[in-house]
Amino acid sequence: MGKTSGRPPRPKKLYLVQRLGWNVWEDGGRPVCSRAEEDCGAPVRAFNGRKQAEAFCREQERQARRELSPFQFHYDFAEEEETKLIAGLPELGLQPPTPEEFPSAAYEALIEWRAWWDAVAPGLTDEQREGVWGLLEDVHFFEVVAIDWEGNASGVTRWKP
Amino acid sequence: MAGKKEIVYAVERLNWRRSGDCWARLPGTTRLQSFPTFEQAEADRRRREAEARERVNPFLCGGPALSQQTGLDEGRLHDWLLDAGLTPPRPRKGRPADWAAWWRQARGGMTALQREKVWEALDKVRFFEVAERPKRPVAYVVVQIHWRYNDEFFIAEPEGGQGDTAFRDRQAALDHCDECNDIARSAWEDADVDLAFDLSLRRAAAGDPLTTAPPSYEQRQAGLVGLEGAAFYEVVEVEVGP
Repeated sequence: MGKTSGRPPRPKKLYLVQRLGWNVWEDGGRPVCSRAEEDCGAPVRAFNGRKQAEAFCREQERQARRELSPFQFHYDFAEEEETKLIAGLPELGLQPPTPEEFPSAAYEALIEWRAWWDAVAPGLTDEQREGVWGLLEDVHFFEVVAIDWEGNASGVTRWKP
Repeated sequence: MAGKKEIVYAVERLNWRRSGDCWARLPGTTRLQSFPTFEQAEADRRRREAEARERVNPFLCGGPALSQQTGLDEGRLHDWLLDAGLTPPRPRKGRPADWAAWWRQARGGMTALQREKVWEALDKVRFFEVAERPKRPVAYVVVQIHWRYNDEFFIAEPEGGQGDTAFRDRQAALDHCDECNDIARSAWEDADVDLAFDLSLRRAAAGDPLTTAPPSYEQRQAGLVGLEGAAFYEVVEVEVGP
């Protein structure tokens, strides 16, 4: 068996975990956030292995969901989506809100979901909190991007958590 | 001993962003400074936190609901403030108490200890934290900034960009970045629109949101730059490793 160089092989890819950028707006005294889909966001940490990057990405995502209101990022519903949300809440052990309890400032027949979340969030278990996020259209805050180290062939690949 | 990682204590700013009178918490943190001991980092964090508390109305953070600011319900917050010798606001004409207005009016008359007691109760409004981190190697990543058009001017994405190439050497990254910018500017010269670029939101995001208000639309218009002043690529330093 021939002698190998003492220097470890240089990894070909660097896996960046990026925090997606959001624009913040004020709506009815509450902050709401939106983003342009093409915006990429800020690199948070990089890894030489994809699995490590994905694990870190998932942990960052979980932490964000534990700490933040989903309705800060998800405030304009399609009817079908709201129907799905209302239908899914009992399965999480949660009573769906009504427009009478939480009327929207814009239109009383609609539910002000941010106010509902503010009211129930302190009493939610981690599973219920995660479950509400799961009932909403995919909102994510981090992603993994593979880029080349200097000197390698070019190419970029992206993964959501 | 081989394999023992050197630890640093990093003071990090939580990702609060302001819009109008509101403050929104976004995911993640920004590392500001690292210290060799926890005590040094904690002293720095306390100083920064105290400065932020001089500037921010905590009842505007996260929205009007107290649950965004404190783990106490309204009744217990009420009692806490009475115990601190303060008179909490009352609901008026069926509307909930206006805590933000109360803070604006009452803060000037509070003692330092009373202010501290209020902030102690508002346990969900924190601006800085200390994180224990192993020292890690860094890479220098050249990122391509995404620009979008609003029918009037081009707007840079608020943070970061599309990762292009990673370098271990900072100067090599800067050289590559300059080269990419030159190529991008050449390509933009052929564009069939007025070239006006707005970097102000990006600059605001890179700065300290606790001290600098986001630019108004008028300020953004006044700050537009031409092709030579715009950046299409930047170098971002990022830690590598678990």
